[in-house]
Amino acid sequence: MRELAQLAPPTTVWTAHNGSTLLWVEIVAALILGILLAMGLSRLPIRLRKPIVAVVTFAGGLYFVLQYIWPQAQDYSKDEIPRGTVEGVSFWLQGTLPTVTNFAQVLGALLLGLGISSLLRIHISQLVKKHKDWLFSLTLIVSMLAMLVFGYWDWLSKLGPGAEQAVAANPHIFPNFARDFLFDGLFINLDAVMYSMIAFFIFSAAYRSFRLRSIEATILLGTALLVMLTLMGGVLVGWDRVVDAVGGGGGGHAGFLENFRLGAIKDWVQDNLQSPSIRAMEFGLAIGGLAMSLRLWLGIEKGVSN
Amino acid sequence: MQYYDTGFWQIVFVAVLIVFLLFNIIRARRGKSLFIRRIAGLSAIDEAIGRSTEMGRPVLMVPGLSGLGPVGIQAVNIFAYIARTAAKFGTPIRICFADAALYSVAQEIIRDVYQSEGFADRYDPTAVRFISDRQFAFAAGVAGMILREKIAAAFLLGDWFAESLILAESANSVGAIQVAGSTVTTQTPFLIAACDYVLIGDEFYAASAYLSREPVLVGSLVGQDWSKLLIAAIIVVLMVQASIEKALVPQTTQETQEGPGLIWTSKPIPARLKKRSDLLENRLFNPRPPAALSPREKRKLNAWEKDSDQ
Repeated sequence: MRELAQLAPPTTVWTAHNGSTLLWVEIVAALILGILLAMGLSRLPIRLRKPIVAVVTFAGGLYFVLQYIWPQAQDYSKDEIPRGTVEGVSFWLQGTLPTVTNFAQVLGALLLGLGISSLLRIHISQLVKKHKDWLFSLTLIVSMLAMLVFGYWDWLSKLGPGAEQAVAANPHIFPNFARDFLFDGLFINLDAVMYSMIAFFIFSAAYRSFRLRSIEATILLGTALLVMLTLMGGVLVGWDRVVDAVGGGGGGHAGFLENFRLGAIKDWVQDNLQSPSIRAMEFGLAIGGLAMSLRLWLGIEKGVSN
Repeated sequence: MQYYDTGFWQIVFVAVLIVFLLFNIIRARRGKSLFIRRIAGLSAIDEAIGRSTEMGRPVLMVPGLSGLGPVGIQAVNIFAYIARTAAKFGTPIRICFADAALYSVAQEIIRDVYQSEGFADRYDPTAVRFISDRQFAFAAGVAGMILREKIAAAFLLGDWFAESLILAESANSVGAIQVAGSTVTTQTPFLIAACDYVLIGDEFYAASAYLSREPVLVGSLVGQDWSKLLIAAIIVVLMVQASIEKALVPQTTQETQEGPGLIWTSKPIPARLKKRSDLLENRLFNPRPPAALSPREKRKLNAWEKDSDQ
């Protein structure tokens, strides 16, 4: 047994077990350190803050640039020992990626807390002051609390050995039922309602923009009409019959007139007009994104607010 | 150990684009005057704020679902310019976010704008709001605000998805003037159909240079144009080359993987027309290992295998 116990990896600050005292001490220490760091940084004068932000941004950017350009091992394993500098750096990059992405996730979670506090501040103030439309604020706060309480209760009820199977066997256990009712029964359906409304908005937007008020709008109308007609089976068949009749093919090959089949026109429009235009826009956007990222990375971005 | 082989052309290409950008930034910083054409959507910003001021209704700014990245920061940069003008006239503003990180950054930037203009007292902390990180909950929240507060101008700039039309049509229903721009190309047609002014493609990234005329931004914009010209030139050259290669140069060999090490070898075949995969442009961007190892690579492989055996 003693030999087997020796095989287990030693516990370090990075590998403390769930629920252990060491982990709790680390969490509290990290929290205190984080608060002190945040307080210290916020007290720094702005001229000192800028270089710190620039250095951290550059280091973070460099890490991900290296992730992109450095040779990456296909079958990387933590147990292998790197041979040479190239493989050493590659292993380091691949091994540290989960930790770095964890940092980003923790930061994201902290900032989500800030967002929620803003939301609550605005709506609690509207509720207290009985502002116009305070009922909407009340609905939001009640919905948020209900989802929080039942979501957490449901999660707690699934902890422990066999608890998840017990809930799966009897989904009418109250916290599970309440969470499912709120999330799957209400939230998902309300999401679907909002999505379905787009159909009506497309109709009203199309009605306004497809009116014959300019050359561009007329081209838009004609092209849209053609593409829409290809989605109607009856029209497609009727049009093809006309092409066959004019071409004399009788369902066969109508020669040059093949190009005037509705499907062929639609394909031509999509392949020769739509796709190249979208690709040209995407090239521009990609280069714009590259330029913006480069300016941010190198700390030379000068926003219009500066 | 096997390594992913993605070729080096992509890295070389990106490096060339970076050189273009940095060269033009340096050129602009040295005082070289660079031209930017008029962009209608950006020229309409002052008109939209003026209209809101006259009507006494808020200006709404939404970066869509943008997170804290280049798109989100660019959107906040434009919003900072709008907020600066709104601060001067005392026009109320509303900025709604779906991303908490971007919201936190924007709150600081907008507060700084009001302070730097000397109107700190006009800054309303509830003007910059986090709504929800769920797409349609966000859309419902912003659409509700548009209808309740009857906004006079809407700036919808950033990453837009299915929610774009919900907000654009809601803003249209209250008679708001709309300036929109999306980095998601599939949403641009919807915005063109529903909004008064639309920033198409990289006009979105040109906005900060256009509004501020800051040398770094203007230089970067010219670098972007050089990069686009390079891409266009490559497309034309490769198109001509591929046409000539396909029409005039027959394919007489075929590459196959053979032997225990699956080494690529080139075998003679009867002459035939080239397929797309045989063309130089395809081989350029889809590299294969060399047909035979060079002496240096052989030495490295031997040393590697010897090391592995030990």
